[in-house]
Amino acid sequence: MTFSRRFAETFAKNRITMLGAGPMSIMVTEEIIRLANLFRKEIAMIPSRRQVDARELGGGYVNKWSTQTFTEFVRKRDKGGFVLLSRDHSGPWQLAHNRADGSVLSHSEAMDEVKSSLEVDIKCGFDLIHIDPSQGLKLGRSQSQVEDDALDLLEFCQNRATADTEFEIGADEQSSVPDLVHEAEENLSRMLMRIKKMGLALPMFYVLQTGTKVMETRNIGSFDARLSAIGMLPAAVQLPKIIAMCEKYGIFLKEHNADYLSDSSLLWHRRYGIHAANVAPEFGVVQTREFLKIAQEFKQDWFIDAFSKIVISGGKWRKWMLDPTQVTDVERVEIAGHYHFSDTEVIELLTKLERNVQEKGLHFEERVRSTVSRSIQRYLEYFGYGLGPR
Amino acid sequence: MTTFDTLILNRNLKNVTETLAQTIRKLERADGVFVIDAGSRLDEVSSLTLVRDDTPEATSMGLRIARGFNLGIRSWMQLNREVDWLLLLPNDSELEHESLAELLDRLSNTPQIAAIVPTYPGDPYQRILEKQPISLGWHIPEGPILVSTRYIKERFLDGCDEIFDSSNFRGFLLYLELSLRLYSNDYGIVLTNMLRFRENQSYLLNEHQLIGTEPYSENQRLLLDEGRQWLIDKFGYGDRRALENLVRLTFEEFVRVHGKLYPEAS
Repeated sequence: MTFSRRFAETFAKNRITMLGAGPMSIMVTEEIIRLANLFRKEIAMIPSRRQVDARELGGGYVNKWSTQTFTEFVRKRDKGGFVLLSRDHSGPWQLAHNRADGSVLSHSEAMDEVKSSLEVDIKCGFDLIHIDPSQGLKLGRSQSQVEDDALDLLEFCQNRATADTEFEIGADEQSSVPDLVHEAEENLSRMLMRIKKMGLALPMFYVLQTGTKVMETRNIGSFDARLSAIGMLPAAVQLPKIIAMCEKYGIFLKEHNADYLSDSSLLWHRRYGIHAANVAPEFGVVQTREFLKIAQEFKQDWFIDAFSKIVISGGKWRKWMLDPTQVTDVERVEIAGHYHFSDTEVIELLTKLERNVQEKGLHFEERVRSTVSRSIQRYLEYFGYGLGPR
Repeated sequence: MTTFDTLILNRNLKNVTETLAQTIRKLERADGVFVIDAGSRLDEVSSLTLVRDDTPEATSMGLRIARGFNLGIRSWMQLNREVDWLLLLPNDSELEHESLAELLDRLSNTPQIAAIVPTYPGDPYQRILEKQPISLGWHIPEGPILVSTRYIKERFLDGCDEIFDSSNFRGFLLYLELSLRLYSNDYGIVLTNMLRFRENQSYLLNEHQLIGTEPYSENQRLLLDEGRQWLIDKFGYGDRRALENLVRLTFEEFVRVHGKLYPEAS
């Protein structure tokens, strides 16, 4: 049975929201695999190109994994086959905007680059690929050119992939409000018509903005707002229509940026019938926070100082900042710590921290793992994976 | 010809209230303009005042829109006015745009519409209303609103002299609940960009002491805390989404039956 058929039977029919989880670290990756096998339901593992990419393109920042080594790592541990390898945001300029000399990659260079990345994804047997050329919009390409790029990439992939490979189209522009239904429908029906005309298989998922937006360590979109915010269309108005529209076109809705949502918002994912939702940075932040918490509890200030220095000077926190921001340095470290877990210096710091606290009786890895696991499990329980409150 | 009366809710902003009253009076189809006074100091009571609550509670805490508008509507009903609509305005409303005569004419043949909600600058519904300036809606923000006299009279005949829930003091989801009251009675609400008001928040942000209310942030906190308690007491749940769900389903039934009246705002 194909995954899309299985998904319709297992998830959509039972109103279970499938979790797309970012492999933010080795530990997060291992816990995603373990939990998918424990719950015996698929979790989509959703590496971005910056996290994991083809060896030929330099790999990614998570454990310095290439697509090839990452695939091997996951498949070897995923005994029940419950992890879907799902490329997130694959498109031109998604890995890098610039050449080594700082000039912007041309369109053809960026398309060639993403195709070489996609080729490896397909060879490695990725189950789901999100085609997202929307970075082009920031570099002057029109909506119609971006759609052309999406179709070009979809055709490229489908000519190489097996019939089991599924695709996801559409982009979340990290807006804080849901897409307008009539605009989303115009875009979707136009794309689907063009896909059919080209004789390609229809994508399985459509990414639409549902009112989730991650900044700092909060979800500031309308979905989770306690009050209807001025200027934001309430998610409750748009979401049921967006889902009905997706169902009308035989496509599943994939929400992005579901990090940090409240329990109540997660519960409503099932009630609204959101088919799938992606969560990524939160899991990395949870792991970093636990490192810092342990260091504080065991008075390992040297770790906090040295780790913080690396993370603050690394600047990876910048893209998550609100403007203006009130974030402290500690929070900057929490936000961006995971980008540095594979830095040699940080590995040494963590090894020393682990040794020191173990001497004082703490099982370091177990404690961190259990915290990370709980944060992933919260989503699974509210999304209806089986052992939770509903 | 379709006409309307206006009730403006005042608390300690006499000049602002009377300036707004003058603006409204100049509108085509405007008839009477009256003021509801929510416990203002004597020197801030408008000469246009129809009814005044000067009880210690109102003097110290004000009335807010549910209690204030209800008080005004009760007094206004005793005047037996022959108008079709009643415009309810907080006094910090500022008129931005109006094609009111045309709007009222367009609605004159649809008695099922019992409330008209104007937009405000930056209102997300405006993008939808560019194509269809009058659209059915249900999740509407609290603020200026036109309520049909027909609906008000029907409620009073039904023995209910409260259009809004006075127990919802700070107005948490007040108009969402109004949607429920209307749609479950087979009445509809339209949103429109043919009438647009701006809320001048500077009074709340900068002059809350003069008005006699809490600072803005404190007011927001109380709105959430007391609002959640109101929701629990009234509906048995504290999750606003459950109320949204209920209203949406009731709305969808109205659209199923009367969908041809106006397109839906989505």
